[in-house]
Amino acid sequence: MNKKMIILCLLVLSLFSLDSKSDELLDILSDELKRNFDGLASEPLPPYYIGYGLTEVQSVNIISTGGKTLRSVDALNRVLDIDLRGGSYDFDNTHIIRGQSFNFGSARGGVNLPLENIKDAITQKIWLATDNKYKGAIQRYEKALSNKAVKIKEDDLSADLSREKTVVDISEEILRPSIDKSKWEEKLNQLSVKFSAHPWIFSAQVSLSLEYKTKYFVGSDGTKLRWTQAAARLMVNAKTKAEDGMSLPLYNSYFSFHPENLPSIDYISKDIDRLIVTLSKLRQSPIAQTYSGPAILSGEAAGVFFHEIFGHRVEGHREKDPNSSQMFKKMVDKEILPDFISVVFDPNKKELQGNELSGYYPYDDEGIKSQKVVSVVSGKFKSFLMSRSPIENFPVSNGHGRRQQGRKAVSRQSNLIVETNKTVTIAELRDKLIEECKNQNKEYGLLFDVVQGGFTFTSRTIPNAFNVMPLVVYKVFTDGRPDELVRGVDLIGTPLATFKNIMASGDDLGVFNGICGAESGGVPVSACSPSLLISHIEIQKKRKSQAKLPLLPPPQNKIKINDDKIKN
Amino acid sequence: MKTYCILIIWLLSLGFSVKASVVSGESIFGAMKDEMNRSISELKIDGLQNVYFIEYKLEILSPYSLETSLGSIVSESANKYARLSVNVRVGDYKFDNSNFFDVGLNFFGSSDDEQRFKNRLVSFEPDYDYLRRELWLATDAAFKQSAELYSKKIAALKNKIRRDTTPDFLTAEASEHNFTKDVPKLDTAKFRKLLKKISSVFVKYPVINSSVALIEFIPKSVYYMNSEGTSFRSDSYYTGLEVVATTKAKDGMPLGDFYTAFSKDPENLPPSGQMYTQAKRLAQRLSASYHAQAIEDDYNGPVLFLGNSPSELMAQFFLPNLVAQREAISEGGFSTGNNSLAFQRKIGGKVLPEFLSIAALPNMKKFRNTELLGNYEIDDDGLIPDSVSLVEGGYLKNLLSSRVPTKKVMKSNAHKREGAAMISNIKVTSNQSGVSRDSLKKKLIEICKERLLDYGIIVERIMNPNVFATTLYKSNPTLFPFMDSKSSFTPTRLTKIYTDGKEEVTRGLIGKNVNVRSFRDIVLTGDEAVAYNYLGRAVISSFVSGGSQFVGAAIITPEYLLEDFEMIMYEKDFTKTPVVKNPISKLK
Repeated sequence: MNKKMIILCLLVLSLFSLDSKSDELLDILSDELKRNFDGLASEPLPPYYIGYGLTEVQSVNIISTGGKTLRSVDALNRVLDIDLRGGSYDFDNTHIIRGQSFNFGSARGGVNLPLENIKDAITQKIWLATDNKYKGAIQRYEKALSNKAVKIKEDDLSADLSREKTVVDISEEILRPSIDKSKWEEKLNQLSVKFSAHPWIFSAQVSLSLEYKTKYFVGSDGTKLRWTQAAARLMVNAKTKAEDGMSLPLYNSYFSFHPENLPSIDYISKDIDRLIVTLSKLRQSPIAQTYSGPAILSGEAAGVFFHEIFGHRVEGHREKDPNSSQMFKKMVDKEILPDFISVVFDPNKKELQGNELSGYYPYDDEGIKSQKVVSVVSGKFKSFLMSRSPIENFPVSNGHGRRQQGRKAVSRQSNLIVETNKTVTIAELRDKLIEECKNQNKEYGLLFDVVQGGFTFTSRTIPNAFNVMPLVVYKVFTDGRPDELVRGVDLIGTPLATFKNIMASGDDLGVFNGICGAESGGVPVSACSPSLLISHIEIQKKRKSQAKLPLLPPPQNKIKINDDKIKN
Repeated sequence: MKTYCILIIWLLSLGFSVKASVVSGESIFGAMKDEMNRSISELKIDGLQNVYFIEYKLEILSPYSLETSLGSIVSESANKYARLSVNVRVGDYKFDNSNFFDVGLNFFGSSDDEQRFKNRLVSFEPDYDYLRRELWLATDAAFKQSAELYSKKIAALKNKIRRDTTPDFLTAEASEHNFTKDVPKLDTAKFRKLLKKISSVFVKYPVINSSVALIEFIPKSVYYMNSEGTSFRSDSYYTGLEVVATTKAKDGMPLGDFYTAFSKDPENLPPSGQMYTQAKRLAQRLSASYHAQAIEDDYNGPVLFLGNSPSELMAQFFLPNLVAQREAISEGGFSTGNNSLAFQRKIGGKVLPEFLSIAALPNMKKFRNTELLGNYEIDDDGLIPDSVSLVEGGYLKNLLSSRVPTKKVMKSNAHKREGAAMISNIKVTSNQSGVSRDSLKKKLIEICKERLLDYGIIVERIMNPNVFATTLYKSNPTLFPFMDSKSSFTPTRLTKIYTDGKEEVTRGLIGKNVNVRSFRDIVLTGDEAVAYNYLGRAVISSFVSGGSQFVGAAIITPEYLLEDFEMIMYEKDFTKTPVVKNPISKLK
């Protein structure tokens, strides 16, 4: 109801419209790029391309615990990332060097730039950073050349940098919010104090993270861009411990592009009540035993499952790496999933069925317009997610070159959306689970309701497995007993075997908004999926803390302080 | 212009972003006392040693920092946080869980995340109930760890013949102290303006590749209580201003220099005009080094230490040895790698020329107009410090100590600072009458002539390890070499002085093989002692003590001449100078 009204009092958005044809900071970047590009042109190995990406991050972070503020900080910083290429589009200094177990200094290296548009201050830092980058490029180019000469012919002879159209777009208005931090501190304290009445919850925090990024990009090919990305995340984290020492975390997370659209305090408060009840039940719940059999993944869990099992394997740049498993390299137009499933990645989508999606962005970090990528159509694989690093049959970017500031951009996921054309109601999905359990002579199936996240391995040196970390798992019995909450398991498996086992999907939608971490750092993504029934999954036991519960009971916090004496 | 204004609005808000909180000392000490009493009497595990000592420390810090370059703000942050640390000792004073280095735990931590409760961030506005709960969890974690460490220590000694029977911990009288004071407010607008002005100095020096001017102000409130009945409350604060610039000579040699000014109260920093002038001098010095001819041979002969160099040299290579250290027992022959151990068994021995003496003066607040960073009212153990005579007439008399005794130092002189025994204010005095700079130079030339040297060396500036490790290395790691060993230092201002008295700025020598014996070659001192504040590297590693990596200290020393000193050429394959010209050069 009055959610919007309340929030309007809390946050005043200052909307500044900058001239849509020029931008002082972009001009400084552009001029310095040209000066360096021209200055290096007469060198024996001149750069053929330079890109400057500047990320200005305005952030607010508030953490509350036990009804008290733990931390409340705001910050503003500017980080410059330089992409400097020597050689040619076909072969440059970024070319993969084969046979090295470790590539030094290839991924990081952002430079903090001054916060005010004072040309001397900014250009001196850019100049020095460009020179360092150039020296690194010369050295690496020589190494790449000799590596190519001494190694076998590469499987993938694609170019090192795709040729793209130049884009100029500085039309987007810049949001610079001013936020009433003390009001938010109060709100978070109101929420975090709810845990204080439960001494068996050993740590609990409620945090708000606001990030307003203004991204600037200039390329020596003429591209000139300015765009914004905003994110407001409210997180509730709480952790308890079972008698046997197992740590049991749970969380609630809320995402919106703007804090005024986050749920109301009342709404979150009720969620916290439910979370406390679940934590309490988890402490008493039995440990699940290792299991292989049918399971339902809730929409959120299925989203994370697809992100790990599928998404990381269609990030195009991996297909060039001879150490990568290259699972789908030769699978274009081949069936990899059941025919009722399609998968798209759509960074242009801001929301889906009323849920805001954190994987939205208008341009990627290589200055390419973001594009919807239909990766799987009716079970058949169609496309990789592409950065400007081309691979065989995919010569151009589709706007998925992403990075955290300070890292090198590679192809990364955006909004992953699993679409199915064969859905059943959730009740029917449960029935199908029970039916499948009976077919497999299983006493019960599993329902993965809440997951924390997951990880996967894509290289050839270790098994290509995935791990999804569930927090709330139920046993669903075939004999009609009520569902039983269990704890202490991770969902594991290998991708190709698991793909085949997807049997049906629900008519719901789960959205997981999170930060995905990989070689180019943490990038905001979302994973959206209906609930899925899988005929065979495997679970393994989670790592368990060996620490005993506290030896003494919690202190009796009933006595108030007065001037004379403190009693217990 | 619009963008500029918007940024300023945002930055202004930063200065006021840290919420002032009212924390009741009564609530804090009440919670500490109640949980401590309960834990001492009830915290037990059958078959394991009992608790005999508990200490609680709550520190509330509100650091502010500002970095500028060429007239622009690069970063600005205002923060506030609180850290609760709990230390539990089991066994007794004679033999307890301490002085034992658990290799696995220290390197990799515990796989049980509850162990982190013993030292973690808590709210900076705690009340009784909140803190009591945190103390309950922290004491529990600390006790379990200490009880386990005690058993591991016993196990590690099973197969050893133990010779050192020094107690693990010294007893101390109970006392209560209150050193609360008003924390001065930092005028952020004033310092923004000042730092922008100071950093703008370098716009006129296109041969300088990179420069920063920064300031930090760190107020800290401490609430301490131990189970012996000692408790104290203290407020302290310090301010540090740093200007650092780097470049590369035409032959690629990296060059850098710095200026620092420290005080406790930000208003007691040197006058703005003086700091501006110092920044200008730094720019001039660095430009002169840039244009100077590199030295072409190693040097062995007399060296005159002027400016900050007598202080830096002593702070880096002599003073750390004046801290009492105890080598922890460890498993598998692992050593905690204590450094600066030269004087641990040398009390009574000669360590300096007989005309020199050294004392620690932790109660000294100021020397002339300079507030001293090594001044404090109470140490981390809750003990009140007093002066300590360390070297008298060249002979070592004592070491700086905490409540952790060593074979030769069985008494604390209240020097536990930021986790372990550490330097405070050090004063070097000479009973020779000091001489003027000119006389020092004359003596240098005289020795050169006797040794048939064409020239002598004057070191006027030495790079400070804290400035190097933080600002300089952070600003551009490729510009400057690592300070390559613990026995070497990098001069940032060098002058050749020929036997005819002619002086010539030079570059490219490194002080090598410096150790405590080097100082026995001091033959003459200057007539004026100067106070030098610095952030000294913790002598007992923060990795072992759990404290800070750098601690504020001060040294008051006259300039001095070393009769014999080794310096070697700085010869490396330097990276080339930048290809494109410095963008500020075209403005001139």
